[in-house]
This record gives sequence, structure tokens and C-alpha cells, in this order.
Amino acid sequence: MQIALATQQEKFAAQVEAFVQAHWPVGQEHVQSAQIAAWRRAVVHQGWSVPAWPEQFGGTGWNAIEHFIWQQVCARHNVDQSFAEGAGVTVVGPMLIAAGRQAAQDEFLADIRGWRTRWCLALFEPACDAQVSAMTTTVGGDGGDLCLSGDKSLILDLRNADWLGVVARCADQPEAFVLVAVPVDHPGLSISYSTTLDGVTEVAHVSMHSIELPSQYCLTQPAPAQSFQQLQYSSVYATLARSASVAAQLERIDAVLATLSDDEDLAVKRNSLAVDLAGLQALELRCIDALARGQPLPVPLELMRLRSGEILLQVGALQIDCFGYYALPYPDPAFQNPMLLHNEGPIGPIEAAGVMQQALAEQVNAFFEQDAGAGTTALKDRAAKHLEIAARSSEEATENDTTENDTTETAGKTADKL
Amino acid sequence: MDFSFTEEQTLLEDSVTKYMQNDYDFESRQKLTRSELGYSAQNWSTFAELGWLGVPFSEADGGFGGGAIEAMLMAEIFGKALVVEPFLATIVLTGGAIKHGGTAEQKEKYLPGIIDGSVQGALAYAEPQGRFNLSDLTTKASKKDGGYVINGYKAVVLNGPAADILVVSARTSGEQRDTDGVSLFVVDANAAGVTRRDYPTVDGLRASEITFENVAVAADALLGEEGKGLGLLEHVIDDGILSVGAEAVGAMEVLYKDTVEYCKTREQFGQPIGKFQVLQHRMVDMFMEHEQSKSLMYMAAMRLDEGYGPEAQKAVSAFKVQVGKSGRFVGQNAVQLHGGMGMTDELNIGHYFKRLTIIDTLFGNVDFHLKRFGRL
Repeated sequence: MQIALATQQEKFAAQVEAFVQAHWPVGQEHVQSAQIAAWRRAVVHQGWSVPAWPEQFGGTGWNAIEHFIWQQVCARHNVDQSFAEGAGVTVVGPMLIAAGRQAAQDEFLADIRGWRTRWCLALFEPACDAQVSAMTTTVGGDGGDLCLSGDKSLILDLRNADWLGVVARCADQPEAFVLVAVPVDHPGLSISYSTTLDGVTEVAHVSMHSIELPSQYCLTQPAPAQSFQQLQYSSVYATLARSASVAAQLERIDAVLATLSDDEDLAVKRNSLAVDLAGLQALELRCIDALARGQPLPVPLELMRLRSGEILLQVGALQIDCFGYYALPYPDPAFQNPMLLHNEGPIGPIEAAGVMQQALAEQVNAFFEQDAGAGTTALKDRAAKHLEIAARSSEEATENDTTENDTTETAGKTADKL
Repeated sequence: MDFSFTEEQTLLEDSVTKYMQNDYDFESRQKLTRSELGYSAQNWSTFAELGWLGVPFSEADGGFGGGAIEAMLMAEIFGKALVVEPFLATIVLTGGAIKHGGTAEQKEKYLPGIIDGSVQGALAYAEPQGRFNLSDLTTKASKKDGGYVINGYKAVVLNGPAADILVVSARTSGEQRDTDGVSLFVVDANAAGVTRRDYPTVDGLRASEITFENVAVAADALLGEEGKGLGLLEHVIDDGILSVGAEAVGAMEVLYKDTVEYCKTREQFGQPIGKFQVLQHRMVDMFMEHEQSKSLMYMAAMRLDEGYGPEAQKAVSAFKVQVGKSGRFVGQNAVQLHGGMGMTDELNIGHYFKRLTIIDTLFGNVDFHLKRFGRL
């Protein structure tokens, strides 16, 4: 056992750090859009835009530790992750590679890999949230065009997206589901927006009424509900590198604490968070080590998401505690524009600007991060199954196994038809 | 970065595990806790024959050259079996103090007996007024006739009743809480002026209150440099934290697994209680608490093996905080999920809970280590 990186890994870490230092404005408070665009071009040019994909599809072939190093460095410097952790790279691309048709792969993969198209996911429905098996959005088709109908809600990042990935039920095989690509500017989409509780993050609601799409826009083979139920809003490696972002935020909190008068309660909270962070770091390292060896994770990924989410919420709470009353100012979202904020001047210390919104935004993120909105309960349910904690009667086990087989068979038939 | 064990470490783990599974059942352990000695001298001899008592010592000192990781591996399995033999007091604390701070002569004098199982030891460091502050000492050692005379009182000395030698912290200079002026001495437990009051602890072990009244020791009883013993004592205590923390991790694993099994078989309202979602979630939380403790245990062991310093101290304190919190959570939930039976003396669950509760207090509780972590 040893904590230190091997020489080869250290070299890689130095290479990644040098790359980020060269192409990202490290330490700069407000990053300009031109700088973000330059960073994206550099990452794509370097061939690191889809590192976790198979090499033949443009992946880097990194091992688990190298992925971890990349994620850690990116998180530490708070680099733009809107493409790297967007739905195109983390969900649509991998699904296309694993189960997509050739025509769909040809149509979409190159643009996703080149960070030329942005995707968002339409998973939720007004009546069933993210429970795929209860969804009513339906796609039909008889060998020609697809016909898509239904309502989707709580779609993140639609305003910036080019494509919408819609999870829909197959019209003639109700047990099976597919992922369908819909251009965001499709005239058949009726879109409305809501602002979430942080006052900044937007979620979209989309109505689709018999909209017609080319057949290659059906991205995947039909599959049972559970295949889609486990869609995640971030990659495995990003999930296992969250501690770096927490550590960076804790450093900023320490800088603030140093300016405040001694407060024992705050110190206890800060130290408690630091110990939790140390625990998360240690867990992440064990998981990455297991991945590198091809062994099962010591802790189910669901619980890693849950734990890192809890700690991120703690960070927000501690930040609010640090600033006391100055966490209260709640500027109009229009003033969230960093340039405007800069000209106007913050209310209270500059570090306090928007801490409440950040904490609330983290709450919103946690909702989507935790099992695509199904929340703590679903994550723990799944972990309980994983850990074989849940007791099942023998009749129930037989019944479930039979149902799963039936579903798989049905999905196979639907695939042939579509 | 590497979390795998070497072949030797795996062999050691297998050997200790097999012995505990085959020869150290809960009923026998309970009988031992009720015996006069509180542990089995026969078991102790077997540990020595199997080489376990020499694992943490260097080959030059007659040991097997193991480090913190090996000690952690053994302690974790001891925790699963609730071992009552005084590995912590004799090997980790007493042997550790001599290993880290002793001269070649002192090592030659004491370590062979410790390793072959013929010598029992105890670390007498705590005082009634000091709580977890290692430098808060009223026990004094004054120079006399080329040696020292020790006067004072030591509280809750683990393995005190069986100890042949005591490693005693005493103030050779400075004020009561000064960090300088602390010295460690190896004292014959049967020396004139040493009196003990022995008693059992809540978790079935043995301890003593020890009074030192004009106890004369030679100059070569001093461990390390005079007045600079606090660093050595901290090092030994941190090794002890890794050891008891690893025990706690082992105990938590048993509690979690036993609770899962129990909930799969215990039926209420016509079905196993493990089918109830709220109970499943509690067990998921127990699992997570155990895994977080285990992760920090590995970090602490690796840091200690890298070399003793602030990084290692910080890792040890983080581990102790986690073990304190997790141990309480896992222990309390195991008792609750076992229902009324969980509270009885017959079931092993309550005994693991008691050990975990004691471990939280040993060598500094959650609050103490949270503060220490923040200071480092």
C-alpha cells in the first residue's frame, strides 16, 4: 500500500497541470466567453474531449488513475465542464457507442466528440418525474419517419443546447424504451421555462405533439425501463473526483475564515467538513484503485454520489455561516452578469457575493445528480439492492427474474420492428 | 498509488483470520472476560509462537519488520473477534515506546521478552486531571543518586494488572501543562513504591489505578531524551489510535453484516424486516459509515508508514474522528435493529457496541481530535 503516485502517474499529472495552466485562465475570478471558447478548442485539439470513450471512438485510453488525475486537476481549477460533463459526452455518446445504430453513430458522434453540438436530456415527465416505467411520451414508426408525442419537464440547459435527447416509450411495444434525438429548434416543440430556487438555473418544459423525425434520430435499440432509469448526469470519473472541487472551495473558505474574528463554532464546523472531505478523498482513491485493477468498487457509485452531494451541501452551508448577514442579499438575476456585478460593486465582501445562490444552486444540482432527480431514497434503494441488504422472498425473486426475461425478450422484438 | 496488500501481508491476514475463526469464538471470549486474568495466557503464547507479537518490530530487534499496515491488518481482525489479549497495551504501546524511543541496550533488554510473550507491559500516561492532554502531568521524576525518583498517580492503565513493566510519563521539569519537560521511563511494575488498584473495564478488559511513591529508577530507565518525551508519547499514542481504530473498523464490519443477516431472517407482519425500506436505508448508512472509516484507516496507516510527522498526525486524527462518529452510529443502529435482543448480554451485538463506545473515548474523543485536526 502507498499513497504517492508512481513516477509515470506523476509525469502524467504534471502534463495535465501544464496543459490546464497553458489553456485555462487559472485563478481568474470572472472568465470571459472568449477564454472559454479557446479552452474548448484546446481540449478538442489535444484529443481529450471524450476521454472515457473507447479509443476507436476518440477516447484517450487512459487508465482509471489517469482519468482521476484529469478530473481532479479540472475540478481544482474550476475549468469549464459544460461539454465535458454535458449530456452529449456523458450520456448520449456512450449510449450510441454501446447500443446505437450505425446511421445514428455516423450522424451524431463526430459532432459530440468535437464539442460542436450540445445536448440536454428530457427524462422527467410531469406525472411521473424520472420513473421511466411510468412515462407516457411515445415514439412510433413504421419503418419510415418517427412520430414523437408527449410532455417532458425539468430539462436542464435546454437554452444552450442544439439537441434534445428524449426518452420515449415504443408505441407498439409498451415495455420498451428508446432515446430519440430532437433538434431544439424543431417547429413542433412547444417550450416554456421555469427558474429554480437559486434564481438563476433554468429548467425547461417541452410539449411535443406528433412531431416527425427521420428514423436515424432514434439513437438506441429498444431496451427495458431500467436501462434508462440509471442514466446519470455526470460521468463515473467525475463522480469519483468531487473531492478536488470541495477542497478548492474549502481553501476559499479558509481564506475568509482567516479574516473573521475567532468563532469556535465555525471552527468546529470547518474542521468537521475537512474530516468529511478527507474521508471522501480516501474513498475516492480506493474506488479509483479498484477500477484500475478491474475490481468491483468498494462502495457502490450511488453512495459516492450521495456522499459527495452531502458534502457539497455542507460547503454551501458553511459559506453562508461564514458571511452571516451578508449571505442575505439576493440580487436580481439580471445582476448575476459578472461584468455588471463588477461595475456595480458587490453588497458586502466580494467573497460573499452570491454565496446563498451558490448554495441553492448546489441544492438544485444535487436534485439532478442524485439518480437523475429520483433523490436520496432511490439511490439508497439501489445501493441496498447492490449490497444485497434487501431481503426478497423466493417467490418474489422468481417472479422478478421472469419479468426481466420477458421484458428483454419484448425489447428484442421491438428492436427488430423499429 | 496502490491499495493492494503484499503477499506477506495477505498471508498474515489469512493466518490471523483463520485462527480467530477456528479458535476464538464469542463464548470462549466471554469466559475469558470473567476470568481473573481477563485474557488467556495460552492464547498469548500461541500468538507469540505464530510470530504475531513480533510483527511490528524490526528484524534487528528480533521482529518481522512489519509497520503500521501490518499492525492495522492484525488489529482489524482482532476487532472482529473482540480479542481481549493485551496486544494494544503490550505490543503497540509499551513495545512501541521502546521501539521508537529506546536505546540499543533498552531494546535488547525488553523487546525479546515482549516478542516471545514472556513480558507483559502497560503504558501509564493518563492522569485524573489531564483528560486527553498528554502533557498535563502532576507525576514527577526527580534526579537522585544518578537516577530518578518517581512520585505520582496514573489513571486507567490498560493491562496494568498483568504488566511486568510500565512505561510511565512524568514531568522532569516545567509547569504542569508545559509541552517541554515530559520524560518517559521504563519501570518495573513490581518495584518498591508501586501500588495498584485493579478493575475490569466496561468492555471486559483490565486496567489499574497506579500510585508511584518514591519509586527509584536507574538513569538507564529513561526512554529518549530527558524532557523531550512528549513527541515520543504522541507517536506511541498515534500508533495506538491506528490500532484501536482498526479494531473499531473490524467491529463495525461484524455489526453491519450481522445486522443485515438478522434483518433477512427476523420476520414481523409476515415478512422479513429487511424488506422494510426504512431499515434497508439504515443498513446502507451503516455500510457507508464503515467504509468511510476503513478508507481513513488505510490513509492513516500509509501516512504512518511514510514517516511520523504532521501529515501522519492529521491522518490519524481524521481517522479517530470518523471512527468515533461511525462507531456510535453503527453500534446504536445494530442494537436498535436487533430489537430487545440487541440489548442483552447474551448476544454479541452489545459487546461490540461497548467496545466501540470505549474506543471513542480512548486516546481522545471526537471533539478532541477534531480540534487537533484543525490545529495541525
